Amino acid sequence: MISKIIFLILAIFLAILQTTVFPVNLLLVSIVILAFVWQDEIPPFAFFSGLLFDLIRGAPLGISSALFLITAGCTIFVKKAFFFRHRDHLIITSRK
Amino acid sequence: MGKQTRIFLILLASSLFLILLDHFGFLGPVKSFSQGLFLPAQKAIYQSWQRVRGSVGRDREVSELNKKVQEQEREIANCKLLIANCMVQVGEQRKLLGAPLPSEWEFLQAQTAGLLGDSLTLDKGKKDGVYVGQAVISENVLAGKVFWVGERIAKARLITSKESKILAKVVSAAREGIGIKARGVLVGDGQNMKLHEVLQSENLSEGDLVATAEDPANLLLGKIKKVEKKEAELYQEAEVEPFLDPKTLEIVFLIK
Repeated sequence: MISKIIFLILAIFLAILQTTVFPVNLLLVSIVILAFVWQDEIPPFAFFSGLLFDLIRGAPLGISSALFLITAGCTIFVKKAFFFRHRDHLIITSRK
Repeated sequence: MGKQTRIFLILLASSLFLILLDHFGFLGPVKSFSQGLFLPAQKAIYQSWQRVRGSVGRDREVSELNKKVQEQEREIANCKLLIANCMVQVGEQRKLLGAPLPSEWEFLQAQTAGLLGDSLTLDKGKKDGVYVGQAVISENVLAGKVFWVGERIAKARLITSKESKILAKVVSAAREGIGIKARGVLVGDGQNMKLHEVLQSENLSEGDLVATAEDPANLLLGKIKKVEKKEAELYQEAEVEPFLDPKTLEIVFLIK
């Protein structure tokens, strides 16, 4: 729960930062990174982060949400595909 | 279909629905409220950033300007040095032009690059045509002779050197009779010079000028400071003070 609150605060800060001074989509980067960590819980975060971002920058609502969701979905898909392909190797190395 | 996939699809559909709602203007009040909510934070962050960037930018500008100023100061210093060197060279050449030297003589200008004992290092060498035995002068005063030549430098032995021996003549500096009074051998003693082998019959006096009697002839060497006359001896001696102070030499000329 604490981690989610921290992420929310971080998301607000990043959204403000990237709409004011930093021309890099920090939220998208953080969503990609977090998609590896919070695989199953990331879609709601991606959705709300997108909403927040759109609200702060004054863009049409929902666009960033959809973009972040698709990015998170793709990241999870890639991660699962990679894990499936290398599962034997990963199991062996984890046993070592 | 898994639960997570269902959530994902629902959220994606919600996003699309929101896009539609926003497109038709139903979300205007929500957006207005949220912008009012976040605007102070945005302004604060932006102003802080501007201050940081401004101060960093100003510091950078100041440091760049300082760097430029330092570069220009160095250039000015170099130019000043160059001008000073040119002035010295021009002065020396002017003196040389004014000196009563044979017109057929050709000169090679050299700069002194060191003085160790009685050896004067010059910045000209073999590639400039310098050779051993070449006379080194300043104005019309003999400073020494080249005794070693390198590719780009040469070393001259000063006339005050203990190893220096020059055939010299004494010229009267008195108003009543200008002319050659005596001949002798001028030998250095480290600081001054001594005129040897001057016949006792010759009348030397303090202040008489000593000049070269060998080639290159008629170059000044110094003036008699003290005459040492011993009746019992065949020759008399005289202490000669050189005209040149080798420490002050910057530009000299080699007679080609």
